[in-house]
Amino acid sequence: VRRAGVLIAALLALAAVAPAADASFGFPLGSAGFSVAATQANGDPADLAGSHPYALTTKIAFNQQSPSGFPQGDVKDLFVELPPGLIENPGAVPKCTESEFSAPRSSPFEASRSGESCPEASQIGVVGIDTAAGTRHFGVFNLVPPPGYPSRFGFSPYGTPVSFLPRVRQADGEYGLTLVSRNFSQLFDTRAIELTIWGNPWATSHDGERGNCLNEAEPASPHAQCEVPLADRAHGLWAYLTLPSSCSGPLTFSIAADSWQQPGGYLPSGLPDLADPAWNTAEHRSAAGLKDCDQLDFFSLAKALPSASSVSSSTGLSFSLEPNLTGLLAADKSLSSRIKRATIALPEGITINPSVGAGLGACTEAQYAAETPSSAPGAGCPNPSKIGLVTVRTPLVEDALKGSLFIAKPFANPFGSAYALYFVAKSAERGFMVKVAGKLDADPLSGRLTATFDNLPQLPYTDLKVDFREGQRAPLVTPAACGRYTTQIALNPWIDPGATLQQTSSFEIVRGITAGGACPTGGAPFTPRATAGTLNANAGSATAFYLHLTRNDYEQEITSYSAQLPPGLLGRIAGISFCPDAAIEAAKGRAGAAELERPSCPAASEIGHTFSGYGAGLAPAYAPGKFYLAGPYHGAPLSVVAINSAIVGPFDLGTIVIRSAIQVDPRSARVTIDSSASDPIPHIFAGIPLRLRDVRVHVDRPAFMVNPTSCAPFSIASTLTGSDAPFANPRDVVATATVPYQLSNCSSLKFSPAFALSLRGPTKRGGYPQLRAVVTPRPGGANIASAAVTLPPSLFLAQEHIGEICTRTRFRADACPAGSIVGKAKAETPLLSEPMEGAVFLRSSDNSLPDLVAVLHGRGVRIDLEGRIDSHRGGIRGRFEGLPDAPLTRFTMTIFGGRKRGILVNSENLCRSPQIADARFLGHSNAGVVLKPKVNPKCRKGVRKHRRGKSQATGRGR
Amino acid sequence: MRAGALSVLAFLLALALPPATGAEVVQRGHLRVAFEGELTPHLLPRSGSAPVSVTVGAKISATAGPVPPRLRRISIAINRYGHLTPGGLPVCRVEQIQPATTKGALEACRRSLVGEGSFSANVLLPEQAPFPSYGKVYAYNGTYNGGPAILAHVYGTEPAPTSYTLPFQVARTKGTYGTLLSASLPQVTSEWGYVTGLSLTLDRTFSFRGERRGYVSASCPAPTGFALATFPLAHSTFAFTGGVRLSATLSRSCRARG
Repeated sequence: VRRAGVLIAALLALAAVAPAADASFGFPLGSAGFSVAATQANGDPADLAGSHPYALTTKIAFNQQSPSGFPQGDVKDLFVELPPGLIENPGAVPKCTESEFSAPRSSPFEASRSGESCPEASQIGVVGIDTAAGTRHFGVFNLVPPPGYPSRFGFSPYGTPVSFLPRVRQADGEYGLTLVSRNFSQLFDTRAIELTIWGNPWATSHDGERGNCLNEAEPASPHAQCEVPLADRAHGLWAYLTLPSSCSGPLTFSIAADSWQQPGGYLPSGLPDLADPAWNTAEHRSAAGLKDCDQLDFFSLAKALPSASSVSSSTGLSFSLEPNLTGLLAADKSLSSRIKRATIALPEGITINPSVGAGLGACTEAQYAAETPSSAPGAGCPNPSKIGLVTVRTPLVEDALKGSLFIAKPFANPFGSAYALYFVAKSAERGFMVKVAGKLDADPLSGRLTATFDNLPQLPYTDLKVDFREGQRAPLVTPAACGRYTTQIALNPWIDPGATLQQTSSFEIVRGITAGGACPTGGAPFTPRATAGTLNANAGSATAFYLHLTRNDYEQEITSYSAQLPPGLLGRIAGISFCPDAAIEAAKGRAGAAELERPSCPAASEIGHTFSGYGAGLAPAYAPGKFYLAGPYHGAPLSVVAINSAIVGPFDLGTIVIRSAIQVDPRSARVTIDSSASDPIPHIFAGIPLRLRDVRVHVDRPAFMVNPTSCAPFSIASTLTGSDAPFANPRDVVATATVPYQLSNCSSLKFSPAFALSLRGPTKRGGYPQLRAVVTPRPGGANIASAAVTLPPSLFLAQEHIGEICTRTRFRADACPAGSIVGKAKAETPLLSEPMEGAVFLRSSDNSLPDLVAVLHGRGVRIDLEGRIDSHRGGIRGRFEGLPDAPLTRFTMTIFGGRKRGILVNSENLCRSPQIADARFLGHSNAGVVLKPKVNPKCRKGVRKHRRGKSQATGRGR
Repeated sequence: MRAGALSVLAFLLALALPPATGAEVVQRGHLRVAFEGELTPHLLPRSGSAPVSVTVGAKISATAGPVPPRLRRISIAINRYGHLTPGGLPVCRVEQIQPATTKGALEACRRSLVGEGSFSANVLLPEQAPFPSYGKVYAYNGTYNGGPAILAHVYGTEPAPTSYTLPFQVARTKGTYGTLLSASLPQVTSEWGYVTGLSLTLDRTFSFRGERRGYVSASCPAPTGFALATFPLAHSTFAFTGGVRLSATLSRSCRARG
């Protein structure tokens, strides 16, 4: 009846009074339109930071038609934005159920006009609704929130329910509430609203305004009539409102409202589109900011404990913050300041575990932004980017907020850093979420980790917990030594970010990971394993070569590698270009993905690939790489370079470029990987200790590697150096590993080199002829291990022409005098595109006579063929032993002749009798041949008196 | 009168001194040279001459250090009672026997062969231990630089087959020693060779125009009335690198016939 009366009155007013053309729906200017006041019980302003005001009163008035007093429009939606840090605690009082809220109140004192029958204990304030009929007050109650909201309060004036739902603003840890009431009823013409929320609803001073006592004052004993039963005070006198713990300036409140007559537009986020003129806004700033921030307590208990207690193990980490929230609940205390920034410096030795990278994804900023309280797992940050669980407990919601810790996309996160974390905890049920981005710094030298979470929410929480995942692919690794380790935690409060509360949290590493679990003593052991070999076991065949290095978790890091390959295991570099030095340098500065997509080195220089496993635990993360041939390096004639894209999960840390010098022994052509001239193997990269566990090198370019032609037992000897922490000051320890290496089927290799000797120049006695020897091995046969050639006895050593002899000292210095050169040599090999050529020297020897040494050069490689000179059955013999097990196409040696430098002299007229040499070759396969080549001097026609033999025509022997 | 005085002197010497048969050793610093020689037969005509065999040799050593200085030149003066008689022997040229094996040299100049002997040297190459080199010496009647010479041909196969010929130029001199044999070594031993020993026996006899001749012939300078005579057989001078010269005189005795 009353409602009908109001409606009639309104219709009458509309009929009698023309609407004012100069006014529209909105708020009167200034505090007449919108004001908010936090007050103490005596009415004075409540201005102590973190305190609980006696009441927070919000007055909202709407423009009215004149002179009817009707509002210019009917308010439809209302948004009241509270300042950051102003907290309402719906857990402070019981909640009024939906049925209670919808059942009209029945008062023993007077017919109630409130549509609810909520219990007194759930009342948190009063609201005054001003209509043309006057102002009447109604109770405001803490209501059971609908799904997706943390709280709800409302009132039911004239039986029309009105409720406010909070939206939580979280930008930069703000934690501010915006109270939203949608679809305000048009049944009464609201001219003004005065909403008073009690700071401490349990205060008995409010008893006269509770329930049936509101508007129906019982002068005699209102406290006795409407007091809250003691049974409802189960958890004490908890405060409902808490002022911000910040003294940074006046508190700002704002409001936005539209009308049923002209509804405002909305943004996709659900917030009003304030660019729409249908929205009317107003703002209120408190006269002064809050004060006495320095009186606020600031305490929080912080802990950081790894899940593993053994050395060098994959480990998770449990981190927790437990702030003191006593002041949030106790009405007579002030809430302590909340934590703005937490800086957690893990102890040195706890580092990122590269194993975490396997299968790990990353969360982009857009995905992070897409995380909402109601978003499904994976709808925001993808599940592969999850590396831990998070929990936040707050008194503001009954259930804990739960969520995940995600890896942020490197270099595309709020910090632009390589490592960052996203902390996302939420309750879809309560529509509540905490999102914080944290920066993770890894010391480039030690790998020590420091995590910084800034702008933590001003949301009061009792427990914030992060549990990094455990298991073989846990994100962290424990230190390498047993002992006590301490995490340094620095906490900075919102009230004064410059102030620091320093805390420590210690843990013990008590076990080793070797059998028996004893703690390692002294330096970590270093016994890496190395296996190597060729896939094809047939002598002389093309093959792929592999090298496999492994080390255990508890061992020192591998810092260098050198190896001596078996003699004869060689690379066919003919037709293979070197990766240019500039390209190698460029690779060092490239992103790993870019290197994978477009390798720096040309494909023509690629000779194999690598596969390297990094990290602690049983499941290292593997990263592929490529293996290239490169040119001279640090004095070595050749080098190989491994370019690994350092992509570990989402982390594209660049490239790891390791260039290793290849030395070729000049005497045996034995190939050595020379660590002294090579790049060290990095053990920390971009702050992540690599924990290189497994290195696999496959030199598998087709027909590149060639097996020896010897079936003698050899070995591949590896030498590795290790380093223990601290990484900045490595202490090298040497370990060796030898792998037997022996091929088979040598007997199937043919060995039948062709050999020819010829003389040029004078043939008469006393002449100094030039000698030319040509060896032509059979392709695909065994390589020549030794050769002994005895010249015909008619050739003497011309001592008088042995002018200078290169000393071994000068020979080593590659500074032989020109006078020691007695010839030249040329070797053609399928291993090289160009022949190897060089001079033949007489060099000091431990033999009676000087050695005859051919020094061959080709593509930076030097080979010394050392021959001993002696006498055999009256002839000069040259013996070349220990020749490289390398394939030859043709070898030519020329010993100069002539009156000035010929070291051979005819002791008779060479044309008078057949000149027969003796040549004996032994193959690396142990097959041998003896040849009797006839030497062909150039005799004038008719001078040669001996009969030419059949094979003499060619002067060759086979 | 003069011959009688000499004979008296020789007799007295023969009484006073035993016949010399050992080596004459001279030393300067660490360089030592042992010069030795022999003359056979001991019974020689008092007048005229008879074919003889003369052996001269020297051993060069260092009392300290690996090798002695390099021998540059050797001169051997032979007593004037002995003389070389190449007449009737073919002359061999260096070009015929150098280089050649012993066999080759003999094939070329066998008829010029006047003696034989041995030769030893050390070869010292840089950074190497010295190694000895030995060779057989065959001496041929020859010419060198236009004059008479004894061509000492050396051939060895260790450590490598090689040969060289040492030409002793023959010159007539006046005084006690009537014949001088001299040779320069550098050009034949190269700069790495160090001669450590040389021994040469000249004993060729041959017939010429129905007369029996010796390449070397001698008489015994015993004075009349004395059967024995001791006389300076040879005087040798060895010149080494660095200007060191060592000389030694070798005395031998003979018995006069007739």
